[in-house]
Amino acid sequence: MNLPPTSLLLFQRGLHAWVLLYLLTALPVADLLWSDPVSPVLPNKGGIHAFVDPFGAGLPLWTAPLVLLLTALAALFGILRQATWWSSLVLWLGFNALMQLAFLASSGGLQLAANLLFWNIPLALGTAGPRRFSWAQLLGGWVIRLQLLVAYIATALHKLEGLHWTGGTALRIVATDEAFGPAWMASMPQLAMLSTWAILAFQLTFPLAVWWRCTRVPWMLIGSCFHMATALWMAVPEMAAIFLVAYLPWWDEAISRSLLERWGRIRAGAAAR
Amino acid sequence: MLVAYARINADLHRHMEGSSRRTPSFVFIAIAVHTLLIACYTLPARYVPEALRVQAQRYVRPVFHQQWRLFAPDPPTCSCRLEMQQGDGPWEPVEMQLDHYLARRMARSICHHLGSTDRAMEARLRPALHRLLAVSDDGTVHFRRVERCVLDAQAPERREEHVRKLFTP
Repeated sequence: MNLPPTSLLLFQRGLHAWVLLYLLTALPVADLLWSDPVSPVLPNKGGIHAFVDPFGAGLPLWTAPLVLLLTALAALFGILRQATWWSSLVLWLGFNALMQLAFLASSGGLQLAANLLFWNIPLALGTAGPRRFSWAQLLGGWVIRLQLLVAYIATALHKLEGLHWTGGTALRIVATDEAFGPAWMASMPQLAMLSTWAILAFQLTFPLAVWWRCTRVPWMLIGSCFHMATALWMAVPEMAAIFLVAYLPWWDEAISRSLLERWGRIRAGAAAR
Repeated sequence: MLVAYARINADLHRHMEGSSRRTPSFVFIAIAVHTLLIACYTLPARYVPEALRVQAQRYVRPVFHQQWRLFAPDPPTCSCRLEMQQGDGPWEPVEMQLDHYLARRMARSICHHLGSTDRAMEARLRPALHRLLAVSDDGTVHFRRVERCVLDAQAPERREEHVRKLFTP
């Protein structure tokens, strides 16, 4: 199975759109996150740490709005045009700086995004520019694909280590936690038990199911529903969205191409009107 | 892993038809080593030899840090809520003062961090909490941490409440 170029293209656009959307939704609390941050700025050791956490290495806080603007512009650039390696590098650096500065508001979704953004740099090197390096596209594309699988298998194996996921009580405990939900599930123990095991089974089997078309599509549909539910009840909308973006490199080339063609026809129709 | 190997290999062979052999070998090694180290870093400790885990931590932590333990190995059996009191007024959940989901997440994160007995961390988070709620640190606003803990996993709705006043000398 070759890497589907159109799906990779869709992934790149989706990733840039995700960053821009995240920054826009965070704007109402931009002062608490970045310009006068609630999270304490923890000094780092310098070296490579200075690249991923420049504020911890001494970058003045007054530059945070500038970093925010640059990151948003790099994201917008990648939506409107094909991202280049340098715009992807700016996006990765800016996103990391903002994520570290607001570490109290971080989540697994943001960590996943930071990783995808790093590997988006070689991906861009292989898809844009006067000289395209196909090995770079291969490297970025496969690492991004396998990253998704590692996330699922790691979370599933951690859940197998505990008592409540295998015992079927995990979702009821979550549902009765005032910070999460859905509260109605607490009164339906059978449904909660089945849902607990269904989630565990889904996360365990996804890394295998994704390799064949006949299982890939249903598993991705189930995954989409699962992540939408976490967005709704676990208050991690950006995490749900980034997982859906991470599905894109696994999409069949034919599906991605037909989607792009349909989008092109819609745009052409709108332009003609 | 075998399926992954076969698929990547097929991809590399396609690539090798039009280029030299050296680059694909490097790419394959890079993909395999990176993914292996990410797996060693994120998988439960008992699946990974200690020496390999140390190497993975060195490689992954600075740039590729990630952890996949949301509600794992078990969901938290104690909920965590911060409450505030202005003057002699009633205690109110901090999250009620916050409209944005990221602000509420920061409040929850502060609540969990304050669960440790680390006094230095508590001192560091005190101004953070005042900043989050836009209240002055003049001693008129008090905070407490409320935990509601599951006693029986078969009946998690019945929880025991533990209250601890914060930032007390």
